[in-house]
Amino acid sequence: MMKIKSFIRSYGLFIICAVIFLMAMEAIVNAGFVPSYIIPAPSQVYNAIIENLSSLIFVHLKMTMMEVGIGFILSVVIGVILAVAMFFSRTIEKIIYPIVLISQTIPTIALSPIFVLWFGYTIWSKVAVTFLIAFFPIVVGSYDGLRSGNPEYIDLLRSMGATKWQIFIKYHVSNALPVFFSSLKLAIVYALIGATIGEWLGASEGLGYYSRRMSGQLNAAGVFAAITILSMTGIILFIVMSLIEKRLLRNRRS
Amino acid sequence: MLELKDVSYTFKDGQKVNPVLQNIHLTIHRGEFVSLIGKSGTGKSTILKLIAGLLHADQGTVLHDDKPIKLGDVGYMPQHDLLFSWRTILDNILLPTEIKKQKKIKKQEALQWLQKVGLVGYEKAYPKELSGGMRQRVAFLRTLLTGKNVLLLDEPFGALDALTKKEMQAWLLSIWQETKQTVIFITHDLEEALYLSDRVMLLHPNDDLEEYTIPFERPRSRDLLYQQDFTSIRKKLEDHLRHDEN
Repeated sequence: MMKIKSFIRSYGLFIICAVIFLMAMEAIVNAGFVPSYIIPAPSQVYNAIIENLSSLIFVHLKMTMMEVGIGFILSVVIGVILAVAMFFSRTIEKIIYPIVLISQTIPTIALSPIFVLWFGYTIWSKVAVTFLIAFFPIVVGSYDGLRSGNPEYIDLLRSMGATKWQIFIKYHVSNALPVFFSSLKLAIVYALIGATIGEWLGASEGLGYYSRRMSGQLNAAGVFAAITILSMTGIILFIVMSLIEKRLLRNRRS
Repeated sequence: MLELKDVSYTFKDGQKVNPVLQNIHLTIHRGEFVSLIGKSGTGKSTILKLIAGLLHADQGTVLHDDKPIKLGDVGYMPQHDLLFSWRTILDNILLPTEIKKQKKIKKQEALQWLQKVGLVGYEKAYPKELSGGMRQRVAFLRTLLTGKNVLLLDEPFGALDALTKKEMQAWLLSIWQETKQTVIFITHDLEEALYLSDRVMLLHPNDDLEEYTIPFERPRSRDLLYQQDFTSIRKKLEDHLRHDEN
């Protein structure tokens, strides 16, 4: 009961506004103010999803999720390795940090022909775009989290005769987790965007590819169907990550 | 035995050079309870950090049983409780034994200590569930479980309310009478210093250390605080401290 109440208190207003907005859209489109190839009525989008549900979910979403999964895991592994290396070595930090930063200033779209050149139209060109977008918040988040240590705790461990490695394991890693999880939540959503962009640049499966094909056919409802599924997937991924975070950090001081 | 011989320490931060301590001499015998008092900024905490091995003297030596001190030789309890919020109370207490890789050996001992300090049933709790006084006890047990025979306590009860503070003092005395460790204790509370200590060292801003021997018999009761001898030493100390401020 309490859970439902607090849910309504948190999201009730948003849900009411969203329902009113969708109903207004439906009415405006049905009344003929806006042609349905510009903005489809919510009911048309719903029908477009239902009609192609199995291919949307089991072909396109599945492919997009593969790209997200591989790209995200690579981002986490490589991002964390880079952050740890930068934490332990000022020299590595001075070399890597600017590179990480520069990687974000290059427009992904401009790099994509090169990815296609390197990886062809395989899944790996999409994974590359996903990685490029998602690894940045992870590197920055992990590195900032590791560095955010309170020197008093470090002194305490040193006074016990702890080695640098013990201080890292017993203090820095756990202390970095809250910031690390914030970066994971960003990265998982970015990964989904990355995969979609990657598919736009050349693919034969995936929700990004699907929405592009539909837009080529001036099928606005189809485009919105893909966008709706993408958006819901993003929300679910974010919530899953938040739940893992809550579970792992439940004992910390709020 | 702990000895500071002609110790000087200068704090450097870029261009700023601030000589904190100059030519300090201090000897502390095994099993002694010594309090360090003085106004803020005289370098009391710096002395503890030098003894803990966290800072290195620019000049002079710090000796522990005639050997130069090194990290891990003594138990150090900083001003804040510094409990690890992601560890249970038991795991917080066992941290020093984990560092020394004897966690399994010491677990029984840790549980017994928790019982002695009235924290039974809290071994699986997390620090956020504990009150200030309880957290301080946990931080103290953690220092105790370093197993070192010298404990450095930097204002351990500074943040507690008056009533909890009194409880903690009685509690600390009872533990100290049992373990007979050497304790160096920083405080701003003169009453606390006199009540607990064998000797009180007053650190003046010019780095002179003035020594007061506290002759009262142990075990001490709180009635002591109202006896004439006690109040007269206290008055003397207070006057000397006030003199520093002018």
